[in-house]
Amino acid sequence: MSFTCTVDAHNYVFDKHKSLLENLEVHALNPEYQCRDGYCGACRCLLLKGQVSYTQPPLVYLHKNEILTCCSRATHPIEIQTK
Amino acid sequence: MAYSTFSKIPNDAMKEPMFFGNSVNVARYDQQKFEIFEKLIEKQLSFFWRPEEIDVSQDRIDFMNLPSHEQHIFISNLKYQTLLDSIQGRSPNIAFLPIVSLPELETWIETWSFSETIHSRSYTHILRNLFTDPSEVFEDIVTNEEIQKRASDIAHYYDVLIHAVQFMQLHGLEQSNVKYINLKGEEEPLSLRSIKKKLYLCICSVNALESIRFYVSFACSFAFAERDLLEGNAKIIKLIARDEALHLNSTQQILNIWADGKDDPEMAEIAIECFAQGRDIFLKAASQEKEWAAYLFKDGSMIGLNEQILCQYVEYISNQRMKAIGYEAPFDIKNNPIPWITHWLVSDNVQVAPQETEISSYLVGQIDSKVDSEKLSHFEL
Repeated sequence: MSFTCTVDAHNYVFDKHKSLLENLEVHALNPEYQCRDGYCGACRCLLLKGQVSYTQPPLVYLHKNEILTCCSRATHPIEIQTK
Repeated sequence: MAYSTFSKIPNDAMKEPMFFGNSVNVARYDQQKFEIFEKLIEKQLSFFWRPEEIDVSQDRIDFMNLPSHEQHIFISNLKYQTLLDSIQGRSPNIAFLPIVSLPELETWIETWSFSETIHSRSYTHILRNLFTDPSEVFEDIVTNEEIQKRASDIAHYYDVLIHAVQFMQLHGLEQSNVKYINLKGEEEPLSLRSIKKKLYLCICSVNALESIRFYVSFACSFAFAERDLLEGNAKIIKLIARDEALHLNSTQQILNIWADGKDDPEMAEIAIECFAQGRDIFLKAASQEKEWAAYLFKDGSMIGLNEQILCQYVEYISNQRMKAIGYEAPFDIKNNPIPWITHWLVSDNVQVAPQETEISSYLVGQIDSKVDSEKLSHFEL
């Protein structure tokens, strides 16, 4: 059900069934977002470790290691950098 | 290199660059060099809306009750938005369609520009409701000095590109009989590379327009609605903002595709060569928007928004947008100074009835493509 996500060097317990953005909100981490639909790129952040999967393909141009939190999920421990 | 509406060259569109290859001939979308543009078209079509759907009648009462300095903020902001969309409703077509080489990108440009014309029509919808005769407001857009300053800068990069491309397509570049006289009236040696540079800078300027300038104006519109004023206007701007997020995405795509060398190799070189010039375009847009903020609030601020906060937002949004296309964030600000704007920019709470719109997922769900032939076994003819 859950996995550990390291956000800016702090560990949090994330729910597998929620998007990364929803998880960040659960922990009141004040994440950036706008469209919540994968096309604006406001929630873009860096994936330092681990893998994410997309519920829908992101429409934003992502550079290496960049992910969108609004439409991605993970099942195993990951590490991301939001700032 | 004359433009042809239907090039007879049997080219492979998958091997063409985005711009300055062969003119597009067959409008086919079964194969795409950059699938993203097809996806953007689908998204944009699913967003379709009409200004008349939004009731703005309460806005007139709200507007009449505003103090005069707030009326100035509201109307000036609306004039500026009208200017931006007047430019965007035609310029991508005129500037980019004559030089585009991919069918999916060509159609995206048309779809993009079309949606800007809806935005323009919605400003008329808003203004017609506020004033019995909105002529004065429209007429001021071409004479107002503060708006003029911005207009000339935004239109400049488009005009320079259009002018050079028209010369190239009329006279060709492999001749020396006719000299190119640029918009300043000076003789300028023209090469394909120099025109490509003009295209690069133009896309940078369009991106700055849609990613920074528009958002500053959105902030002003939403600030009124945060106080439960002029909400009809805010509902329209919310729909416009949703479209703009898509448009700025497309120019970010183009810039990133070039910079990463996934398209024309010459454009990758130009992206490096014009890196500093590109940054200057963004910084200039940011500083112009700050000047605009000073003009908006010259007679006084409004609850929730003043010159200082709006300038901080300009810096914040510039940081975000510049990072998205590979620049360092130029300003120190880290957090959004107007966090309430997010609530207005979220598009998943834009109210729509699925059966009245064209949400692609909803329509796709209507068709059950897996039909077991067993189920038809009791049918007899």
